Amino acid sequence: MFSAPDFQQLRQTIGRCTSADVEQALSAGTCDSNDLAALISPAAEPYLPVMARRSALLTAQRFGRTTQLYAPIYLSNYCTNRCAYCGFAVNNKITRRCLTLDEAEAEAAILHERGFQHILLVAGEAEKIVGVNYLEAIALRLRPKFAAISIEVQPLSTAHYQRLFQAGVTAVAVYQETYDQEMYQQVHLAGNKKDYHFRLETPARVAAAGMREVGIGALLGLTDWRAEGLALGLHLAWLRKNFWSTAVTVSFPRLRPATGAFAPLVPVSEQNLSQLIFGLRLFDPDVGLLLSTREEARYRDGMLGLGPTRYSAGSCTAPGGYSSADQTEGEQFSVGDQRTVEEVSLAIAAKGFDPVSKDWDSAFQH
Amino acid sequence: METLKATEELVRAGFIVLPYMNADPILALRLQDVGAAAVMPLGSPIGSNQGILTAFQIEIIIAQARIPVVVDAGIGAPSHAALAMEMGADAVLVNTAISVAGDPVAMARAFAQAVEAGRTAFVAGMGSRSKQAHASSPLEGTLAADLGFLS
Repeated sequence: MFSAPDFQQLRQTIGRCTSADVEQALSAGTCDSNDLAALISPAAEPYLPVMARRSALLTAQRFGRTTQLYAPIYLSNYCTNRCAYCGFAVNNKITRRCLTLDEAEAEAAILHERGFQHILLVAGEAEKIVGVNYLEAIALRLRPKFAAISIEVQPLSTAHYQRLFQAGVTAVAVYQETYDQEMYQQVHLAGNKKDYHFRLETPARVAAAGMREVGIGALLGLTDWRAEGLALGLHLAWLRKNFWSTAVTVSFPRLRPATGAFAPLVPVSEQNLSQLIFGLRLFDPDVGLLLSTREEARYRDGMLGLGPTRYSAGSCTAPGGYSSADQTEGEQFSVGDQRTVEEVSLAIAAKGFDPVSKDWDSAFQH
Repeated sequence: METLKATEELVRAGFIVLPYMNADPILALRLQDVGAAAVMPLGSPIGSNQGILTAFQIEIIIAQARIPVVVDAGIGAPSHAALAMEMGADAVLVNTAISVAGDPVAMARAFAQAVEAGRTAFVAGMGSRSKQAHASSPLEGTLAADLGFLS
């Protein structure tokens, strides 16, 4: 099993990197974890444009001149956890709601109408409200309409992931939030999510269940993003070695204002985020890299083709948000890119890229 | 495929299985999945002394494997063994080249030295190869992306 990295040691490894290490990483044919440490170290900052160029070439080689599009459906904002940074935290006084199967289907129909073939079902962690039976029922209903269905819910067992895969779920996203065990305990104040190790081992359970894809990630802004990035790289490499037939994606949610007003503990600039994205692309040319609507339109447009492979678009982060007039009531975080999917698609096309809504079909599964 | 079936069967029967195989990266992963203790991709046809003609595939096998990779077959000269070790192989298996040598003992010693040299070079970290000459400051003048959009 992937063991928790020693966060302090990661910081030290990165801190020791020099510009010579960066140059070596940039001239190497393939990058190992020492090269990744160099690429996301302060010593690599002057090389950012060179890294960007290298990252863009690798991304085009592996993924073509395309950007995949997806949209989230927030099923429920009930949550039994108290996470200091999250708008859904159990102690936050917000309107709670869990969509019925019909309501979820209505939300999905709106997204389908807008051209989406890939949806991400998101829910707060409340096993009694959003359990595996509920998720299975929704997947079965939505499967005929969508080529890919991802979920981002509480960690489940391998057997449950197998059931959901059979029902049409193709991918699971489960972010560690932070690989720093000390910080993890500081921000996860109550609920099942306090269990660092159970969460850390979740991506392996997802892959062991035969899911097509597993998404990992870290919530940037809690602690040293560089060490977080190296931990992500190690986790990614471990998953590759142990589950070669499951694809891996990495997400980079940067803390944004939420109800409960949690300010980032360590600010992460766009410069920093870009360095991390380019570094991970050089480290693993095949990994899918996600950039959500947490980021602003200007930044997302600028990053098109430079490393990220998948964008969300036209997102609403509150349950029932697509069908309701007020899309911000009870949302998890406020979005930074408010554009519609048509507008995002036009921006992608303007860069000479194809917006892609489908890269999988359930027929491949049988 | 027969190698895969045989490995699965033998592992189930309690054997430690070290399958000799074509240098196929996916087959190597599948052998690993069914419990092979190592994979032994061929460098070239057995007994041919042609050296490592499957280097590209073997490099991929080595990068992906979590079990030892032993390059077997085709290794006809100490330099071939050194190359396999420089690529990161865990071991090489040599028979014909030593057994048919004029002085097998001396040849075995030569192979041992080559294996040691190759392993030391791999651990030391090999520089990457290029078809073109590189200036001593390799990144000067490298094409760079415009990041003017960053706030």
